[in-house]
Amino acid sequence: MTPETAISIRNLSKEYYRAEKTSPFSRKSTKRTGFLAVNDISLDIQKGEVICISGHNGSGKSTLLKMIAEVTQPTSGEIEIDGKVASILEIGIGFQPEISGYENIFLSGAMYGLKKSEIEAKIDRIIEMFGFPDFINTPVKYYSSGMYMRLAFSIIVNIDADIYLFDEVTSVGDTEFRTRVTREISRLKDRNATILIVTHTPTLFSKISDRFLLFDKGTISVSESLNNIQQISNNENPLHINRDKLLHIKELHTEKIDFDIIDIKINLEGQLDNIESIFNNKIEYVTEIRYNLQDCISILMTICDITGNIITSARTELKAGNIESEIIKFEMPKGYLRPSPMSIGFEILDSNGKSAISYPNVINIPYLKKDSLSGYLNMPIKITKE
Amino acid sequence: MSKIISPDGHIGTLDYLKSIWASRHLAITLAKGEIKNQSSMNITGIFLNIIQSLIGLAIYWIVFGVAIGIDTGEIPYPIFVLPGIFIWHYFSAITGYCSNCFLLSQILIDKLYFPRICIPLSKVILGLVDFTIGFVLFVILFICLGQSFTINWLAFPLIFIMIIICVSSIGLFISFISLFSMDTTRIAAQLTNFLIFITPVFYPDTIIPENFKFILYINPVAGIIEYARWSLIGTPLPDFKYLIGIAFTICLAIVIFFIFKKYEKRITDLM
Repeated sequence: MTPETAISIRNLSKEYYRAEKTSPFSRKSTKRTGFLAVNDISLDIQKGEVICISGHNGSGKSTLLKMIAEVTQPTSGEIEIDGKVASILEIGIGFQPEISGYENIFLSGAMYGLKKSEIEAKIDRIIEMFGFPDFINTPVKYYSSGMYMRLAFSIIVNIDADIYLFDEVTSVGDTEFRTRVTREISRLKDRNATILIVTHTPTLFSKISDRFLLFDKGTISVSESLNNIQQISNNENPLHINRDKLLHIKELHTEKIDFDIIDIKINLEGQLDNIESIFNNKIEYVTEIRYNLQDCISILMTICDITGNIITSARTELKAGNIESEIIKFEMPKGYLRPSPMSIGFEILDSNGKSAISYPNVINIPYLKKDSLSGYLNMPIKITKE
Repeated sequence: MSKIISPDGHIGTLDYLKSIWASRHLAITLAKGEIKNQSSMNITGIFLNIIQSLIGLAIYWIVFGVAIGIDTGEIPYPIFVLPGIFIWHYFSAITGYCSNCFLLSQILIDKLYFPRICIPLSKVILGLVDFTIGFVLFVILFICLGQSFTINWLAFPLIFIMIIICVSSIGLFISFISLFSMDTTRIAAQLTNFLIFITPVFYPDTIIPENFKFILYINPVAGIIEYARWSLIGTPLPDFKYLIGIAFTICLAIVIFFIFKKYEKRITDLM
């Protein structure tokens, strides 16, 4: 470990036990099967580095953060940390609803290990950042969720630490809150803090991150600095098709469909060896989706670039039922260089072919390497028929 | 100055004591937050506590003092019973709080690291509120009923420290057990309901036949109540055999401290 290293992780693993609960009267003993949430990870993080971590649900990214934050113990391996750690694994944790915002600042501060005098020295700044000084003496149960999060976040960024761990802080809150979060994180970066961000929307942090990590089944599948990620300007995009023209959408019908996408995976089929093969060969993206559906519907999936232009689309009829795996193939247009990032959109059409629900930007494909593409669904979509 | 996180999670005894001392502010703040949350820090909250104690006192007085007519000598029955009530109440409240304290702060434990021992210890602080109310009520009644203060009162701070040690060790023990069994809450509630009858709360220990007294001697709460009565209302100095139960809780306090030290980093996974 050199003096410039903030966190040094060596062969870190974490095993969890999944107990299969049987009835308390059953004679069969409870089965305990182990699985590795984090599997032999080694990683060095330099001081002042900002790292953005993405991956499927259950891929081990939060577990890694928890181990760095000392919330849970590793099963094997070692983490060496140089500096004070502030772990923000959830926003607004430990707030007491009945007591005022002012008192909650002290409560929350104490949880992050701040002394009373330290909080007193910062209280004006926290209230100023909170932005609602009139409400500071109101019990937090009367706060709107936005105010609640703003108060919590104001406290967090005022903790003086060397290393900050953020776990999905942007998954809550509106756009304004997200920009606020990114602004404050970049301010922390200016203070030369080491920052680890776990997020499902890595595009938000693409400007401030030095490195992207993509977790898959407990291991780091991609670890690249920003420079190595292909970026393509819009001018090079051969397909400037207006999305609405392609989809023939005039208005959205908001009839509800009982549709629940559970998981989605995208794989690139075929290897790309050189630039020529991109221009001459047909490239296919294979999308595998797992879903639960009451009625037959058809789904129109689109891959868009960052500006929302559709690169390619595929329309498939989906059978009703709980389907484990349905493959939707996308054909990439010839001569198209893959831009990064991209997003996948859904258009769910009912039996009459009317568009029922539109998700123009469901999945962010955070990262593209030369020969692989990884994407994941941010959240399960659940729409219930009324 | 770097910190190493490894699977064995070993913490030095001195380091652990230091980390607990460093997080005393957190334990106090947690307790304060909960007090405010419970009572919203308004008059009704405090008023209800006093009413509760008074009703309890009245019931014991009527049932044991008047109806059954337990002989407490020259000491008026309310004065006799009140130290027993507020000390017993403290023990039973901590048993209740600690039996589910980890469960109730699961979100916190899952997301943030701080010495876990703070959670049951904050409950010990929380219970002090009712204890203080009971004690103040006792002092008021003591003066109103024309009792006179004795030199024995000077020993009460020592007994108070004993109470804190016993309460903490029992609380920590129960909170630790609760990590392994979901039934702890119910068992603890049943036990406190039942144990009050083998503790001299509303009767003097003199009414217990000599050959059954060993039950009181091994009961730490019995010893503490007897010593508190000796100190506050001048009952004769209790039998030294009462120290058995107290010594037992002191041993428990030391053992449970080391158990917590050992399991400190593992508590998240045990839940």
